[in-house]
Amino acid sequence: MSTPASGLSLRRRLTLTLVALFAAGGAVTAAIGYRDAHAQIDRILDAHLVQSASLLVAQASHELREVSEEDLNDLAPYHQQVAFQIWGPDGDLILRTRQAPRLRFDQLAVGLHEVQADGRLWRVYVAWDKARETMAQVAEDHAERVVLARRIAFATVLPMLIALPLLGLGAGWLVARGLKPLVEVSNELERRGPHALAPLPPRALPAEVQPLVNRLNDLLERVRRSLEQERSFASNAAHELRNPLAALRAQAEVARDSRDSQVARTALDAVILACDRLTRLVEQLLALARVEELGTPSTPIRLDVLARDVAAALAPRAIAAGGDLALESPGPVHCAGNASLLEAVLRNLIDNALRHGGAGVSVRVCVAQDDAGCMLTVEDDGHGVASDRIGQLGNRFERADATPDTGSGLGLAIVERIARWHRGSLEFAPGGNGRGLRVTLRLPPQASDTQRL
Amino acid sequence: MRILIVEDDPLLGDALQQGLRQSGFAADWLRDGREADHALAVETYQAMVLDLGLPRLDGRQLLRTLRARGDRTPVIVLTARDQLEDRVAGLDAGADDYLIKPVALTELAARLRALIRRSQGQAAPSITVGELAIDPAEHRVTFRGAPVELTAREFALLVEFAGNAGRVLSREQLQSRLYDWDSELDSNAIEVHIHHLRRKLDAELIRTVRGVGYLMPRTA
Repeated sequence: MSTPASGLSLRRRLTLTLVALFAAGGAVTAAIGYRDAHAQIDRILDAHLVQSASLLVAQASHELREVSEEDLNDLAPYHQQVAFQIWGPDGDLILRTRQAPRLRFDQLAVGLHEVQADGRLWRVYVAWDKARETMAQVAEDHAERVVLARRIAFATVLPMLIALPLLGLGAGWLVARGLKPLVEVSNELERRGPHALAPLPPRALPAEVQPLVNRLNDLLERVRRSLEQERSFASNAAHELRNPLAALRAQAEVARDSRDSQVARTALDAVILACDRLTRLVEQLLALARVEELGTPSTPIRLDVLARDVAAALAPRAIAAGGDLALESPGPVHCAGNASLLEAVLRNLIDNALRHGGAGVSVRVCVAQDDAGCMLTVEDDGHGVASDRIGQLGNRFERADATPDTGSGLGLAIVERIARWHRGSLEFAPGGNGRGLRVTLRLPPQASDTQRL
Repeated sequence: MRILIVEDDPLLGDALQQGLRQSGFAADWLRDGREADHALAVETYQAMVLDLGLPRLDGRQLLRTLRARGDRTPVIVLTARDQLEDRVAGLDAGADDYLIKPVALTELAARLRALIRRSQGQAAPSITVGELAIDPAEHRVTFRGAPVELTAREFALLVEFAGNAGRVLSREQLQSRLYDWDSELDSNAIEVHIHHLRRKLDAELIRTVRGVGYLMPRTA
């Protein structure tokens, strides 16, 4: 099952970010260029204006008075930007170019101005000649300057605009190259079958990817191990089913082929026994599967009451076998856990003690409580278990002995699993006086109901 | 034909013993590997049915011990493990055949007969000595073309003689091959059965070698 990527791919995101950065850089450059260009143009053209004005007023008024407006306009195509009005000392308009803004004689003081006139913004320089006989108002359309500044700015940005797609491609390539190890790891995983759980092969990886691959390999290893355990469990379970099945079939054949009715009858009894064993094995397997189910609730439990109920149910069997079953509890024992799972623990442990303890076995069940939590002990004075096999008791299908009335080999595996579910511990030791077997289950004081495994 | 069953599962072991006895074998049943090891050291079995997962001495180890000391008793391994590597390991440890549980008793008996036959150097399923023909699977005997009715014990005795035609068999040998530990044995049982066989077939079929034992000549 694959979740579609919820955002842009890392590669696209990095590439786009880089391109955006380039573009932003370009824009800033353009803005600065434009401002600079504008300032430069202002300086140059203002100087030009001043110069023009100075020139104009420097010409004696008499010379200028002889120039007609038409003459000036003939120059227009070459000198469109600059327009002017020349005034006499008393405010009489001596000369003006056609494009010149209609400024009044005394509208502006000497110097540079920006003036709105005829619907346009003008840059105007006003100058008198030394004799104060002639005044020139030299004007220039501000829009022209803007256009010029834009052109210059654009000229500086243009190479960058051309380079941007190339930069984008380059960035994309670099990012793709940088992400290649990740892509390779992902491809490697994608090519795998669902059961290929071998660690990823070692290869030279960047420092950022290596930890990811290491964690992934750890995870694969954990999954592989648990899968192996499950597989070997399933295979063991199937094999365990074969023994009673083989007995069932062989006994049935004996019963069918026997000419002696007593032999046939004994064989049929054995058939029933084999069926019981199969049933028990299947029940135990189901019990084990139920422990592994998630969502089993943990509730406050009176362990002493639970133990009393189970002991009451199993006591007749103990007495029938010539033994006895006793419960020792100091008073109410409160613990947190799952009642049906803990009942399975009690049943399995008492059943084991009765089954393997031998004839006349006496079984003692103790429940107790202290600061370290709850304790449940089932102890018998029977045959016990050889010390070299005590450690293997919790293993699935590990039988302590070849008793005639064999169990499923799953009882203690179930108990062990339930102990782990409760975050408790299981302990096997010889019984009190060196005989028999003592199994102790310890439960933590507050079995929290978070994440069970 | 006396065989040893080594199986720790009580229900299955019991059924195997009963069933193989019904098929005409003398069958002893042991539940652990070490006991089987001791039994094989003192008794001679024509074949053994061996479970692998045994207490005390594992079936595979038992096989290896057996083969290491030159014991060539044919062995059928009977086990719940059916993985290829298990089968290979079993055969490599010295097993002659391999059966996966559950198994049909008739098949087990047939395979045992085949193994025993091969171990005695016979290829054909029926044993023929001169005018005597024995079909061990069907428990049928024909002599000079005519069927002969025999009891189970007589039949087993005849099979032993025919399978070892030309060889002298002592009374002890015959006894150990015909009777398992559970059988009640009276001292002259073998002589009685031989007497019956001679009467039902031909007196010359089984010769007495005084002081040594009995012999069925190859061209009876």
